[in-house]
Amino acid sequence: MWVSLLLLGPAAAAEDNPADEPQRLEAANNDAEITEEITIQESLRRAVPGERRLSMDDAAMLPGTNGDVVKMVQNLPGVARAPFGTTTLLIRGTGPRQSATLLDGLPLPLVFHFGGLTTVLDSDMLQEVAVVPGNASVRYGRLTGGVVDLRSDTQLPDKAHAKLGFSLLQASASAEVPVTDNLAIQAAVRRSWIDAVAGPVLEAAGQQARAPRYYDGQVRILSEVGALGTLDVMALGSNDTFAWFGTADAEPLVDLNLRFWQVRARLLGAASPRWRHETAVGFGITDEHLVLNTIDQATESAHSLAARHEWLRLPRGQLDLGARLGVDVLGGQESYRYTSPATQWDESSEGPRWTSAVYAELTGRLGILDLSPAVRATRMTLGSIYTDEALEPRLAALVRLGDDWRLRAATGRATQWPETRELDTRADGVAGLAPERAWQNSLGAEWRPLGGLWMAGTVFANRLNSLVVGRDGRLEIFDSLPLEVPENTDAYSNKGEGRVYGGELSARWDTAETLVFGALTVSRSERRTGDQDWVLFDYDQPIVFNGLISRALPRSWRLGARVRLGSGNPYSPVAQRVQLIGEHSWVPVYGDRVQERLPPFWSLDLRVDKGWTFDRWRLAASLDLQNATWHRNAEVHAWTWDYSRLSPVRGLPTLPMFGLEARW
Amino acid sequence: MVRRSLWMCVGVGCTEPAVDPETQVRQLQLIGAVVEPAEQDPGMSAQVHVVVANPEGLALDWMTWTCTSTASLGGDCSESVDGDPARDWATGTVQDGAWDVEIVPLLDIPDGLVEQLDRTGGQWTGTDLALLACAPGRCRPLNAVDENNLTDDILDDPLTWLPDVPMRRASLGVRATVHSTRSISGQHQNPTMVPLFDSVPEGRPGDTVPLTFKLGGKFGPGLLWPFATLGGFETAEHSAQIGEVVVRWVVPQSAQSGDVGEAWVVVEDRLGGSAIWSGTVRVR
Repeated sequence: MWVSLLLLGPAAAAEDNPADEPQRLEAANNDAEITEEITIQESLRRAVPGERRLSMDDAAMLPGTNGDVVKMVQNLPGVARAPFGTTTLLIRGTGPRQSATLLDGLPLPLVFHFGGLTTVLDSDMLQEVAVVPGNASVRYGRLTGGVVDLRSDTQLPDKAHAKLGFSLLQASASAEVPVTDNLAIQAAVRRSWIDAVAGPVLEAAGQQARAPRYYDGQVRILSEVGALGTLDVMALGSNDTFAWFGTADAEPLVDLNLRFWQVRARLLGAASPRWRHETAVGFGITDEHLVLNTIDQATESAHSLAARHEWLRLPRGQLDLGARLGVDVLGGQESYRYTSPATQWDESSEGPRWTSAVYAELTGRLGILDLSPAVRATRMTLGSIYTDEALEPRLAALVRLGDDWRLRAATGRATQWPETRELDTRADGVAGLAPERAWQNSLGAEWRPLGGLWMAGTVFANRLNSLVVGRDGRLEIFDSLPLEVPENTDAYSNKGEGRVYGGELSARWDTAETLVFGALTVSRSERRTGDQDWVLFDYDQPIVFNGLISRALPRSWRLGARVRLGSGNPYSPVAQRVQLIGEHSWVPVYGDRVQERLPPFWSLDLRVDKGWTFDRWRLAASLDLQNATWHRNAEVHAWTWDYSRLSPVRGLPTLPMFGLEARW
Repeated sequence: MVRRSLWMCVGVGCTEPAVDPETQVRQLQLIGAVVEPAEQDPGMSAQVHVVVANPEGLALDWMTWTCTSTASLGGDCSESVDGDPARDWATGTVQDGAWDVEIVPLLDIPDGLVEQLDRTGGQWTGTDLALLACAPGRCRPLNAVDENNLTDDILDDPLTWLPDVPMRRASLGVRATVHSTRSISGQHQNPTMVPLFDSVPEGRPGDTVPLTFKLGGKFGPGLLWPFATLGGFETAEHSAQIGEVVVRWVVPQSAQSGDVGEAWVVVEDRLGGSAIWSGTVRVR
């Protein structure tokens, strides 16, 4: 087993997550005796300056998310609204592929059911969700956007707990049992029942479909292994399937299956009162298969291994040095096949892909200033076809002005490797593609004027370079918004550029009964290819506002509301059309990328909770009324069959998400 | 990989309207074009009858031109050979929702084509007819004809000027023409479509009025599409083969007695031939 050093960044935990106990932060900063438990937890929770954290308590009570903690991320500043309320990550003007969702620092093969319906993990397995919209620690790499790190609860339960839950979407069950003082077992399983409800409804409407069905499960062993620390072993898996036939006895027009299985192990230990270490390894198998119109097919599979070893030292007092040193590896055997006979497209490849990195971060504490220079050196190989390296220098600074003010600044480079299909010259790839790069810069301030009140503001400016562009557009028939411009048939190249800039404001007010939170993001995200004009990014949303309130009432009632306002996504309008006479079809003709924008989005979500406490168990009922005003927002641009007018795909009407949960 | 499938999941279960929106014509739109004969020798002229829907009653000019190539919309039309023009073209004014033009579709015969067709007895569809209906003064090729400075590049690549013309003021369509060197008796003929009703179809608001047609000729199998400016039809697409076919016109609930609209039915035999019925529908 490797020995590594886990280094803490500048102390930022409480400022970013006002739910923290101030006493706990001060205790971690003191030279006084620090319990190993607090230090390990705090070390994980201080991974990154500028990190924003959401607790599971927040997820349980805030409206509009149906208790899904990852969906809560969309309430935070810097995160754009995803279509249809899905969990697609759109962080600071970047696309879904440019951000990462991790579980305890290691990648999850698939994060969401059906690409965004609900997270694949039972929330009881998690303690909190950390979101870093930019300038992430060198602990995180392989991305040019942001990071969402799901963090599991490593506390051994003191007694057995169990839960049964029922909602509109799914049934769930979980349990945790302390076997000994040092060993506990946790398990959770969920299954959707949309198919049981929707199936008969679809048949009655004359639609032949195998309704969406998903299930997931996790089994976990937590153990205190003496001086070595805490050992956390988890097996998890997920399976999604959906098919739509159109007419009886026909081949499926849409046939989708997504599944993964993973086993991971993590050891958290303390080599000394100052040095903490983390060793994590995970192995998994992922399969994704999609068939459209019975003939277009996309298949991706991977056998992957992820590992990390890290050492961390906390800075203390007024003059001290902290450090973080680590190494991580991600890779395995990947294969894919994409076929679309109508476009004579048949592309496939198979082979090993590995990325590795070593990283180091020093934190010098000089009174009120923490300065953290860091570097991440990363390397990628794709069989014998491709090898490249990249260096990612980063610098972060934190200034503590008394107890109420924090000022932050950060700058640094991030790197993201091209996809295998873009590199593999045995298929459609191009040799010598460079990795995509981003220079991320941010400047922020946080203020806590009163107990329970917290405010923050950040301005940011990011530049994206060497973005891979080219025939990647053909994948949009499987993967993306409706294709809005003629397919790009050029070979892959690094001619893409991006620029993103904006500001974020957020405020949170907590009392014993009431939580009020507001977040406003004003930004602009643009892209261009070569020396073409800049155009708006597909997910550019200049204004995004989320306002939430939740209040506890007597007799275990709680009411909550959420208002969301935001810009519509841009699209390129169809300027004209050409009719293919004899084929009864039309070819759209676009102008000079003059972009228009879908109408602004707004919605109101309401939530009511009621709890009953009995001798040995507790029952909670909830109603999360999403889009309570029945406003049919335009979510995705689309046109009538003849392209004569815009006919956007509208969002869901009012969706009442009932939930019932019993806990022992 | 799955976001598009998720959008499709959302769309499942939508109820179907009584009228298929694809049959409703609300703005300027080409309905179809019949090329007579349906199959020609290379270099032969053909009579082309083009039908256009013009619900707004615009004054319209038309232009028809040819492009012989493998990519008719990509600026790859054949260049002139021996100084002769590589294409045929004509202009005029749309009258009563249609125009007729005599044109030579395959003017620039590719080397070896005739010999190839003679040898194989096959067909060739490498020539496209471009059909443009446009409000006066809006379309660059028509303006260039008026100014006597029409150049090939304007017709080679309509996408250079078409985006600048509003959709409600110009409609451009493309139709492939079929050529062979078979004897006339062996060449494909256009199908026939005879309405089996004598009077103007009419119905009360909310009614569904059946229109029956008798189809003749050779089909590959074929397809048939109805259109109307008043109300619409239940089904956008029907299979077409020898015999009778029934399309159902739906009278809109909001229609007033005496309202009159235009209707068309287009049949394509999928062998290069077509037929169009044009008529009137009325609210009783």
